[in-house]
Amino acid sequence: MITLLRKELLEAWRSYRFLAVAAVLTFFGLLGPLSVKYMPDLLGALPNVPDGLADLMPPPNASLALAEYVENITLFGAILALLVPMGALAGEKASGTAALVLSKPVGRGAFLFAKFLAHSTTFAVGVLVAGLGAYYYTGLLFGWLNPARFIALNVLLLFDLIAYMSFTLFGGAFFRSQLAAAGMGFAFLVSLGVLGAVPGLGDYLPAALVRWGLGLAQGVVGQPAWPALATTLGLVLAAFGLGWWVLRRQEI
Amino acid sequence: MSAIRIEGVRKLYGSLAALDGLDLAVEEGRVFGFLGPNGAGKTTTIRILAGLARPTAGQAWVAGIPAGPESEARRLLGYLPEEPHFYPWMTPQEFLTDFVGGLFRMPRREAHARSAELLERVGLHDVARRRIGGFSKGMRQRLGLAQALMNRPRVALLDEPVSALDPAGRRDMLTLIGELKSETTVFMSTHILDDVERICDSIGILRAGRLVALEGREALLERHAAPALEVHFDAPSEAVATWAAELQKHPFVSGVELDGSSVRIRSDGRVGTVDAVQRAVLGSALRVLRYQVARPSLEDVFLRLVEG
Repeated sequence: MITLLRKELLEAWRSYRFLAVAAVLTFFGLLGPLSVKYMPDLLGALPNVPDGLADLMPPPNASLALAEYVENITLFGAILALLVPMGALAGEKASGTAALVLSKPVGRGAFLFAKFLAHSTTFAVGVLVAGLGAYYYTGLLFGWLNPARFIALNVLLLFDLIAYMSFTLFGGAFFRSQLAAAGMGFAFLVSLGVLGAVPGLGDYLPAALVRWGLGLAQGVVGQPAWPALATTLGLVLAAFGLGWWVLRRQEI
Repeated sequence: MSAIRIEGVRKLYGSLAALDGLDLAVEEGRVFGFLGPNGAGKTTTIRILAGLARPTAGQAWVAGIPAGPESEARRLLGYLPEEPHFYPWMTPQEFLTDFVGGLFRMPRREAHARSAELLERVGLHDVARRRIGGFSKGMRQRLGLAQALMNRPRVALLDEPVSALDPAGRRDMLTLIGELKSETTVFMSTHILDDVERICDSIGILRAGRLVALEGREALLERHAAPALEVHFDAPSEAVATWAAELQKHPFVSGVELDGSSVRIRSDGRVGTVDAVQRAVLGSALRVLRYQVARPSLEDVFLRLVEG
């Protein structure tokens, strides 16, 4: 297990996966507070902007900056959660490296779990770097946020991304095609979006984690989304269990 | 105890039987050549032994342990697929020492020494620190052999181990595989009959998922090889080809190979065949330079058993 995990982490490092995820999340994470702060000025400086448009924009503040940060991380994080792990398992099965590894005394569960841990670590590093950048710029431009609450927001954001990532990763257990694995992640994402529109159901889905975290960071007293946290962890476990079950029965 | 035992293994892919009741045993310390035409089931057999595929029926054992996807038998075997693929960002040294050595839980010092020894043996010592991504197919095959031997396996399963190598590389690898029988049992599939004849001491021939021969090399040649006759004519190759085409129609001829004005005739092994061919040669009205009964080759046996 340690050997497999070390290999996955080394691969993430050498293939610039760590760097790519951290760079994308940091760029769009920083864009949150920066765009909130400077968008009115930008609009004011642009020619041919209809009169009064800049006045329609709410005054920039830390709450808006946080909301923008969360929106960017969830959107681009979800895209990364489809793209980054899509080849992790499907690609190894298609290329033949999985056959070479699984002919050694390696459990298929360990093979899968190492990939899950390494990808979770990749997203954790990405969210950490993006979070540090966003915290610094939000503090600099609008005043310093409560660090514990901001950490809580980022942990909840990470859980949300790991849920999407899990379904793409474990989609690779079903298919040899990377696109099919990404398709499974996308189907999961869309399904959650559709289910979220059902009244009363949204509070039990991973997106509620993001709303909970945002409320915490903004200092808004709201209902904790423990059921959503339980659902998210359950979905990750289900994806892993399903992937393992399929992989155990599969010919490599 | 047999190093490899296979009993009644059937493997179906839909309605197609890749293996159809395969029974096979390979004694320890052998270099076993597993022959068969494309699609005969060689790779499927090796994949079942390596725990990558499951038989539809029957059972296979490696060193007495049932083979399977989570089997402990994997500790005792080395597996080289036909086209081995590696992580392109790793170096051979990392792959063998850190990765394969780690998977077998070898102490690091031992893994390091073993990988250095194997890289030397397969001729990759000079590129031990180069990324595998830049390796040719032949280099990957050499590295594949090294990783298959990393754990000092009791059984080495080699699927077409020299198919991507140049002649010199093939010679070196075959010498190495031949030397392995003092340390492991080699189970090797190949299409190259010369290679089998050179290094394998026992041979199994597979046809349509069934074993049609399983014997020591010499015993196999002796038992199954019908005489082959070689005739060299002093005549235009077109005339020889016309005569050979006529000869092919005779019931005692199982195959004719033409090479310019020379003909190699495989007989069906019946008594009187040699005389019949001799009469046919004399009746050809072509001038004969040489006529000889050739030593039967493994190819003759293979073609006779597979096509027969």
